[in-house]
Amino acid sequence: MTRRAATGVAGTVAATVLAVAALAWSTQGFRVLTLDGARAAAVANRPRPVPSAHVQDADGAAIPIAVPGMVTVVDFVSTACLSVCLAQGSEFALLQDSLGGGATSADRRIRLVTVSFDPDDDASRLRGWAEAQGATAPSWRVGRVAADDRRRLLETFGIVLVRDPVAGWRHNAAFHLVDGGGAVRRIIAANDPVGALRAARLLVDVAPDAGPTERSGRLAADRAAR
Amino acid sequence: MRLASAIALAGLAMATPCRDVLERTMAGHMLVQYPVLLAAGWCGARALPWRALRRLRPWNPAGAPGLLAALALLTATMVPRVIDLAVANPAVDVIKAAMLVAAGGLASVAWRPAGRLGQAFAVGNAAWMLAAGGLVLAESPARVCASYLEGDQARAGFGLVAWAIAGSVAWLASLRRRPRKGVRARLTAARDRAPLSPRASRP
Repeated sequence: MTRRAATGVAGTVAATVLAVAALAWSTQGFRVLTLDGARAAAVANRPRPVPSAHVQDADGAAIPIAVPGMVTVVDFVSTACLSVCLAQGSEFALLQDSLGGGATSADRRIRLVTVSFDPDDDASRLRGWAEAQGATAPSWRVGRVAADDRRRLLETFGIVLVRDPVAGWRHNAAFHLVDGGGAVRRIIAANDPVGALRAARLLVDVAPDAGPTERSGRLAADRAAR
Repeated sequence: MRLASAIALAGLAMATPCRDVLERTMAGHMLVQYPVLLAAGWCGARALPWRALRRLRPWNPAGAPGLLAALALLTATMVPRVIDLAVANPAVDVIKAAMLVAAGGLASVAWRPAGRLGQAFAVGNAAWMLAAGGLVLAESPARVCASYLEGDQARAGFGLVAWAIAGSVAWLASLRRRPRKGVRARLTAARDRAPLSPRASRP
């Protein structure tokens, strides 16, 4: 091979490596195309700890995002949002019905929490929204996050807010599964409540009652993977 | 002059007030900022001295490696995850801009060596990718990017289809253009034909 041909081959190889590297970087190793896909893959690989955040219901009672020994399905809404948040509320109502007030021991260890990110959501709006959706405590609690904690909490869950002139707010809705140790373990697409329920039951099944230790989390993840 | 234009274009697209305005909508982001950054790369590469271009030529046989890398870089920056991250994270935005400028520069360097056949391959691939991606954006009932609303997404999608058509028509129109005549054109052709080094001209 002449020197000129060898240089050409080297240039072609370099361009191919650059092309593959660029595409691998943008798709996180050829696995995801969207931000939602990326955050779901990220928490599935490495559960993300939820920061301590003050979430209160319409009566001012604190709502913990995680409870030891239980799996919490979390979603985020604005009561003014008339599109995806309403749909998400309906899907949570379906989940609440499916859990049936804790018919089985596994279902008794699954709870639902809806968190409003809208600073304009006051107690009366929260109460009205919860009643309209049929949210019944303690299996499904509806609250709002304190202003100081809002940004940190949304960043942890990977929520992106966009102002919508029609619907008020738009965001990337999903079912976020938080284990008893306070880590986001799974993110399921908003249009898949059945998948969310299945994943929550699986997580309850594999997670020990004690829940919160890192070691138990790893064991549960290993068992789930098997 | 060309280098100054390239720097001005890239700076304009990425400077804070313009960047915010362009990235506020998906159409501004993909239909204006992306082409401006590509154009900056193209102009920047045209400012390279011909000696540097001649040194690059053996690394870029028939322009194929350059066009391949340029297409891959452009494709990578159009992945919805990258678009979302670029809006939220300035560091990713700078990486995205650098990739687009590099794509424009690589395409510029590879354009003439590629000839008509190579150019047809590159234009066809880019147009197909833009049109297919644009139609997906325009017709998708769900938001593909978390940072933008559906209406904006549809406008960006149709705009990408328009860019694909415009680019293809512009390239086809360039085929009808007569080759440049005169001293400058002959000099350019002679430089392209010239051997890379004195040693290479020996029998």
